[in-house]
Parts: sequence; structure tokens; C-alpha cells
Amino acid sequence: MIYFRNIHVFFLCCFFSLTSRADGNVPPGNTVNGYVKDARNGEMLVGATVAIKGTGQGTVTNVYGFFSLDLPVGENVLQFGFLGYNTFELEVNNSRRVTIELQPKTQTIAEVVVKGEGNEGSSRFPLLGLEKMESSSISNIPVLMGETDPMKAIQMLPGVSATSEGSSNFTVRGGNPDQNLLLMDEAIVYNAGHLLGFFSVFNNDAIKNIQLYKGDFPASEGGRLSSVLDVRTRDGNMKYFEGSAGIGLISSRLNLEGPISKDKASFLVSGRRTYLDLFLPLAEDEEIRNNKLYFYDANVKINWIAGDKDRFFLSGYMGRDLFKDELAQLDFGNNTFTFRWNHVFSPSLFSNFSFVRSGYDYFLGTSEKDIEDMEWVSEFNDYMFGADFSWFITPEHTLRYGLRSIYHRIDPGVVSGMDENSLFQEVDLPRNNSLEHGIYFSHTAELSPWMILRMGLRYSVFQNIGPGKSFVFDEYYEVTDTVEYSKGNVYNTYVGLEPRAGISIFFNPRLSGKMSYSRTRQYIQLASNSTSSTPLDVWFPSSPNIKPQIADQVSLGFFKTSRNGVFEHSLEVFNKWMQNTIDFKDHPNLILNETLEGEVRAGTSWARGFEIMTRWNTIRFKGWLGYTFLKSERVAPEINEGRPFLSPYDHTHDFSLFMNYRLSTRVSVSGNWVYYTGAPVTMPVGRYEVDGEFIPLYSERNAERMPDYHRLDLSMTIDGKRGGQWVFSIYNVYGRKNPWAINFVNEDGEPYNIKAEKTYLFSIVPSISYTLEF
Amino acid sequence: MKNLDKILKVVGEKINKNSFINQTLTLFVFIGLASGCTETIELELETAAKRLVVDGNVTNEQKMHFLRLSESVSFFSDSASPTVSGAQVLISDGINVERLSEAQDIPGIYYTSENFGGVPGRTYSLSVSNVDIDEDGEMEEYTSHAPLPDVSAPDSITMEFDEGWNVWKILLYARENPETEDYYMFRLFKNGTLISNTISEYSVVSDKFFDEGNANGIWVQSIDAGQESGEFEEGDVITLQMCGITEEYFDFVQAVQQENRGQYPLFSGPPANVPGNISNGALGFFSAFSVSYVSLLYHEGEDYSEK
Repeated sequence: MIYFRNIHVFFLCCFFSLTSRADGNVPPGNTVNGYVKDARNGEMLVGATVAIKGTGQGTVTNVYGFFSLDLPVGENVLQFGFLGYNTFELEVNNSRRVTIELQPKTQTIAEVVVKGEGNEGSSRFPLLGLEKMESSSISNIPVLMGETDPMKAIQMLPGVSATSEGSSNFTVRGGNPDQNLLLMDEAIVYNAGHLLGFFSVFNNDAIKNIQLYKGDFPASEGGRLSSVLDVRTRDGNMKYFEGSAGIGLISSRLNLEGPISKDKASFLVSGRRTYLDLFLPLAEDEEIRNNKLYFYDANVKINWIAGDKDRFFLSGYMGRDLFKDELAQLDFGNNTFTFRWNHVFSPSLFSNFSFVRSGYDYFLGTSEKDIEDMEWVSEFNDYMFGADFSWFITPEHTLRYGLRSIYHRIDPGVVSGMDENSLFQEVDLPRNNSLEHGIYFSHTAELSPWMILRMGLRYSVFQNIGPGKSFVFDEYYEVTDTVEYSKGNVYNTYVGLEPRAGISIFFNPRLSGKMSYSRTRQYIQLASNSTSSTPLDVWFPSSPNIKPQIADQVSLGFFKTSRNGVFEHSLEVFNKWMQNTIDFKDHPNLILNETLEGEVRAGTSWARGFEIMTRWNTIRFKGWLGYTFLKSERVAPEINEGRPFLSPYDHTHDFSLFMNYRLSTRVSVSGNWVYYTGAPVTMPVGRYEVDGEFIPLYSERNAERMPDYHRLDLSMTIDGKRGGQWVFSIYNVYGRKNPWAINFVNEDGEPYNIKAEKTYLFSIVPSISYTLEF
Repeated sequence: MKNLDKILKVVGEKINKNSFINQTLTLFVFIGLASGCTETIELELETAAKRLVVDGNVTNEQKMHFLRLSESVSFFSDSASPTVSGAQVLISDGINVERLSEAQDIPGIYYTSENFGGVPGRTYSLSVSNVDIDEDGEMEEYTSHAPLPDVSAPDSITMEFDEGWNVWKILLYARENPETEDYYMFRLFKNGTLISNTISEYSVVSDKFFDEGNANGIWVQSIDAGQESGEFEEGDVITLQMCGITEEYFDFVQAVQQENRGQYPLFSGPPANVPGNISNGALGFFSAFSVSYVSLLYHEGEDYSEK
């Protein structure tokens, strides 16, 4: 625990020195701080611009809608703006706290906003590979079975693609899906899939916006190599009670929100449930009639503005999937709980304290209770504390610093018989406890009007703590010794610095360039070598046998706006090196394996490529076109005989096109088309026969490719006169049979007539949904 | 950890049946949304250079033992693997050397004398020479070493019909040494004919499967009730062959079974080559194992329902 204590001391020193300086050393001029809100419902606006008129200087609101800005001496006019909202101007000649409410331009236009990087304030922030989306733009993208899904929306962005057909799981720049950090109100979501991953746990009704960092993380974020997906839920209407109810082919939804005390406190409750299982009793087949198959989830949030300086948020998520047939039952789900306290220490010092619990668990069992039946449960729990400070020293200098500590408790699996006379003896994989800490500090400095520098440093610590068991492996990965550790004993510690740096240069108001470097470390990973997500996840941490994964990434980008901001173009080049990346030996045993670490074969990986994107945004017509070129390779001494092989997510070319056209004030149409090079796979290159059985002889790992993937989706949205909304959509309009799996079968029992057979999941899938607002 | 394998087998079979995927897709199909289907596709595959394939074993039974030599072929080849003739094949246990002769009428099949049998505890070495698979004009030599483990005789077996799976389950009663790490293979004979006749139908387990060295009615093999071999008449003899195998052969059988199970992205990792035990890049396996048998008689009036 020595490290832990040292960090606290260090952190507290930082904290007191900085806060005392912030209080005692007020710079000349006036400081204006406060919040920017939506005038209609009081929802905080994230990333709204606050500019000092005529100077080109300014800032943007943070994730809580807060800003702080030091003004030059004298009278100033502040301009507040947010895409889709009317600009608001305010004359200021003294230090004060303000709450600005921006009017949406018109309600219908506000709903089709696609917010881009080109928004003046945010483009000045030197972070590369940052993508933002508002929930209103997510709902415009046509999706499978009409289920609006933020994870499907981000798959349309350059550098991001789906891991397999129809999956909501995604890969960023050739990385593994477990290298993405998924955060819902700061709580880590460990398995984001419903219904075997076809839908995600993020309910768009409850979401305010999402931000995706593709490798150049701010110093406050860490723990994963590929990306951070930061999902923030809405606070709930502060002005009046409202709600919506929707029904689609898969699920029905209900969203209620309103003030508890006007402009002081509000609530939001949002839930979904699939309802098709209600029709199962109508099935002719008796076996199907008794089956169960559904998921539900619920988001609840309460927020309270306790005064000028304090704001509290309480949010929770709970979701569950259940499958049951006559043989087996599987159920799984996530739950998260987040408590946050925003406190404004001084006009220029904003802070947020968070307490988060998040968990994931699953149950697999046989349906009947007899001696051959068993149940298998596994559970993952996280407890997190975080403190984050933003100190707006001068308009040119902002400091952000803080600490985050997580306690991970993993119960990889307990399998037991359900009957007293069970044939099974209990299998109980030992609980695994670990601590993960990060302290961070970053400084954003506007060195001149045309140059902004960001320097950040994160110090991360990972500790395995007892009670626990550690195995000693020999060079053949056979266990030679087992060491038991007592409760509270810190038996392994990894520490590391994670520097982050970026620079933005503004060549002219329409053209800027950015360059960045970041190092990230990942201490916890998924034991999976499949390209699809399954509910039976086993996460395992770094340990004496498993070194932390480390990634270094450099990127360079250019951003240009044209036609008075209608078009935004970006080009980004990246190069990423990763050490100790996790892979598994051939035919690994990843299920219920106490010595799982013996199956790991670590190696190095690299990914390089570029991303081009053009967005356009007019009142009637908006959309984007993205293209990614990627090469992502891995090498491990004991895999593929030590020769490099492609990442299973290496899609050389990846196009995505999204268009939304407003035919009238009530009708709009959208379309998207995606194309990517088929994923690398291992294919047979020969065959031989032993004991009457054909055995395939394979190519090198991932040396062949699946057929290329492409698909067109269309949708039409019609707003009814009385607040209802119809959405008609067609997934895979031209019925491309994209293979999900390729298998080889014998035809007609002829032993030597082998044919390749593809399994595809979805051909043309039409859907319809209706939402009623009240 | 005693019955981890058993659990994995049950879970594995559930996963194999893809019951969850099927159910999800059934639901989608039910509401007319998914057309999840299979379709034959044309696929151009590379062809690897041909390699020698060895398929043979030594058991502790005194009998004529056979070994088959063949070549690997392209994956979509529409004919049987070509056999390899004219090879010199020797099996040695460190004391005696047995020279195998090639069958006159079945090329590629090599046989031992009729009184050849292995002895548990000895290691058998195979040598194959005088073959030129890569056709470079130079003869190649291949070797392999296989220790022959011992096996204890099972006490008895019983049979039960499982309606859920529609299979006849063969339950084993046996004892073994809990001190050593042992691996077993189970195969079934019906009236003297081997009915588990491909590797996919072999059943292999480690002795973690036994409770402190005791098997009290554990499910070790199955007969599919939908097949012809699953139809029984009065007096049919069902025989279980229990073989003591090496860990290496256990891994080989498991890998073959895993590869031939089908690839679905939900549960499969990348496919990989099956590990063999022949030197010089040859494929296949030369195994050595000891065998023991136990039988039961099928009676029509008897109650075979699950207890």
C-alpha cells in the first residue's frame, strides 16, 4: 500500500498548492464564469463556445457546461454560441458568474445538428482524433431494425468499424475491441452488448452526447490503448415535465423527465424492453413457445443545483438479457451507479468528484434441476473514486489535474451442480483483486494567437492485491509453482509514466494543423480471440506473468473549413506502436481456466494509416464522407512461427458515407453506405487424412481475407403534426449477403466434394418505429 | 477442478449446438427481419506444397498393426489423398526393431507381423525413409517417438437414454491412480464393430474428470439415437474401449475435433494447424496407447430412462 499512500500525499500537496494559489493570486482584469444551457429544457450545453468579441480569444464549456474566462481590463462583449442555437451577446465590465440560456434556432433544425470539429472554439483545442456526436444526430443514422444506437453511429466515423456483421462492438485503428474504454457517466462498461451484441446498452433516449478519443487521449483518461468512448447522459428537463414513448420492431421505449424543483433539480427516467417474446406463445412449435428471449434496460438520473457553487448528479444504469430454451439458460447484464459533485472553489477553479460503481455479471445454467445440471456464474465489480480539477489561470493558460483510483474485483467463474447428488464438483476460480490508480496533470497554453500547446503527464499505478494466487510458469508454459498471497498483501506493482503532448497551429482562420504524441498503458484485458463479443466475458488483469500493454502514438492532422463553414475537411495521419499486446496460443483454453495466463503469448503490434473526412452542413442537406487507409500488424515469437501477421481488424480501405436531406419541415431522408476490405482470416490451403477424418492444413495466421463488406441503408423520418414521429428504414437495401462466417461442408455426403459455404445474417431488413412525444 | 472437462464438454456442446445464436436468429426470422442463411460460395484458395502424412499406432494388443502413409492435397481436391509406396518403415521399442511390409493390394498401407504388440512403459520410435515427397530427387527421413502409457481395466458400464439430447449415454464405473496425471480415450463397438470410427467421434478426457481416481457413472461416450447404430435389438453387445493415451495425443484429438466443428465468430478464435508428432514437417500422428474393454448386453424390456 506504500505506493497508494505516496500518491495521496503527492496529490494532496498538488491540490493544496494549486488551490491556495488559485485563491490568493487573482490576475488583473475580470473573470467571468458560469454555465451555458439550453433555454428550452435547461440541459447544459457541452462544448459551447464563449468568445471575446473582436479578439478571437475564447474558450469552450466543459462536459458539465461550465466555463471560466479572464477578460482584458475594460469593457468586453462576450459571444456565446452553439451550433443550432442563436448566438447570445453579453456586455461585461466586472467579474461575475453568469448562467446563459441559448435559444434553439428552431426546434426542427436543432434536431438534425451534426456538430463538427470546425466549431470555432473546439477546433482550437489541440486534441487529434476527437469525434463528437449529439444524440440528435445519432438518431438520424439508419440502423439495423430501427434501433437507434450510438455504437452503430460511431462505426460510421473514419478509423472506426464494426467488429462483425450487425455487431454494435467496434474496433479503432485495427485495435482489439477490449482496447476501447467505454464510459457511461464515468462508469466503465465492460460488456456493451444486448442480444449477442446486435444492440448496445446505450439507450439514445437517455444520452446527451458522446465523444470518442481515437488514441490521443487527454491526460485525464487512461487504461486502454485504442480509444475512449465517453458517453454522457442527459440531465433531465429543468423547466417542465415531458416524455416520449416509442415502439419499434425490437423494443418499446419510455422516457420521462422533468423538474423536481424548477431550475434547481430535475430527474430523468428512461427504459427499454424488447417485447417480441410476448408473441412466442403464438408459435406453432411447442419448444419455441416455452422459450424466453428478451432484454431490458433502464437509466435513471437526478441532478440538483445546490447553489452557485455546487451541483450534484446521481445516475444509474441497469440492464439484463435473458435467453432460455429447454436445454439451457443464459442471462447477463451491466449495472452502474455514479455519484458526482461539481464544486466551484473560485471563479477560476472548477472541480468534480466522482464515486462510481460498475458491475457486469452472467449466469449460464441448464434449465432443469437434475444431477447433470449445473450453473455457472461470473461477476466483475469496479469501485472508483475520482477527483478532477480545472484551473483557468488566464485565458492563455488552463491547468487540469486530478486523480482516479479503481478497485477491480473479478470473480472469473464458479460452476456448481444444482442438485445435492450432482455429478459435478464445484469449480471455483479464485477471486482476483487489483487496484488501478492514475494521477494526471495537463497544461494547455496559448503561446500566441496562432499556436496552442498542450502538455500532459499521467502517472499510472497498477497493483495486484491478495488474497490471491499466482502461478509460476516454465518456458513451456507448464505450472511449476503456485504462490498464495494473504489478504491485503500487495504482491505485484507496475508503475509507468504516460506523457501526452499536442500542438495546434492556426495558419489562417480556415486552416489549422495539429500534431500530437501520447502514451497509454492498459492493465486489464479480455480473454477472447474471437472477433465477436460473447456474453461469457473473462477479463483478466496484469500480473507477475502478464506485463501491462503499452501504446505510443503520434499523429499529424490538417483541418480546413470552406464555403463559410459549410464544409469541413480533415486529414489525419497516425502511427502507433504497441508492446506486450495480448494474443493467445493456437487452440487456447480460455473458458474456466485457472491457469489462463499460460495461454497468453504476448507480442508487439503496430498500426499506421490515414483518415480523410469531409463534412457538410446546411439547413437542408448535411452529411459526411470518410475514408480510412489502415495497416495493422502484430508479431509474437510463439505465434505464426514468429512471423508478422495482420490484425483481424485490418480493413485496408474503409469508406463511409452519410447523407441527410430535409425534404420539408416535417420530412427528411437519410442514407448511409459503408464499404471495407474483408477482414483477414486464416484459410485452409491443404487437407490430409488421419483415422478416416479430414484435417485442414492452414495458411499462415490471417493470411487470407473475407470477401469485401458493403451495405446501403436508407431511412425516412416523418414528424407528425401532433408531436409523433414515424421512422421507416431499410437495412442493406440491395441485399448484399455479407458473410458472417465461412465454413466448409461435404456435399451430399460425398467425401471428396467439399464446398465453401458462407453464413450471412441479414439480407434486406425493413423496419418501422413510432415515437410519441408528450 | 475434478470435472472441469465434463463441464467444458457440456458447455461446449451447448455452444456447438449454437442454441443461443439459433434462438436469436429464430426470433428475427419469426418476425421476418433476418434471412440468416447459408449459401455456397466460390472461394479461391492457395495450395500449400505437399507433405507426408503419417497415420498409425502401436497398442498393447498382440495383433497385426497398420500404418498408412499418404500425401496432403489441395483443400478442394476431389479425390482421396495419394498414397506413398515403397517406403522403409521401422518401429523400435529400444530393444527390438519391427520392420513393416507394404500391403501388395493396398498401396500405402504398411503392416507389422501378427505377434507384434506394445509394452506399457516403453517408448516406440517410428522411422520412415526412402521417400521423396518434395520430388527434389533426394530421399527424406521422418521420425517420431511415442511413449505407451498403461491403462486400468474399467469395472462396468451402463447405458441411459437422454431425451433432451436424443442420445444414448454410456456411463462408466472405473478406478484409476489419482497420483498420476493420465489421459484417456473412449471408443465404442457395437457387436464387435467400431462405431466411433472417426476422430470426431472419439472421446478424450484427462483424469481430472475422475473424482479422486473414481468414476461412478460418468458420461464418457454417446450413441446418437437418430443414427442406425442407435437402434438396438435384444442381445446387442455394446463394448467400451478405454485407452490410456499420452497428453500429446490428447491435444491432437482435441485440436482435430475443434477444427472440424465449424467456425463461428461468436465463439471461435482463428483456426490453427493441428499439432502433430512427426519430424521434418510431416503431418499426422504416430500414437501409442494401451487398451482395455468392458461390455454390456442390451435387453429389450429393461428400463434405460435416466435415473
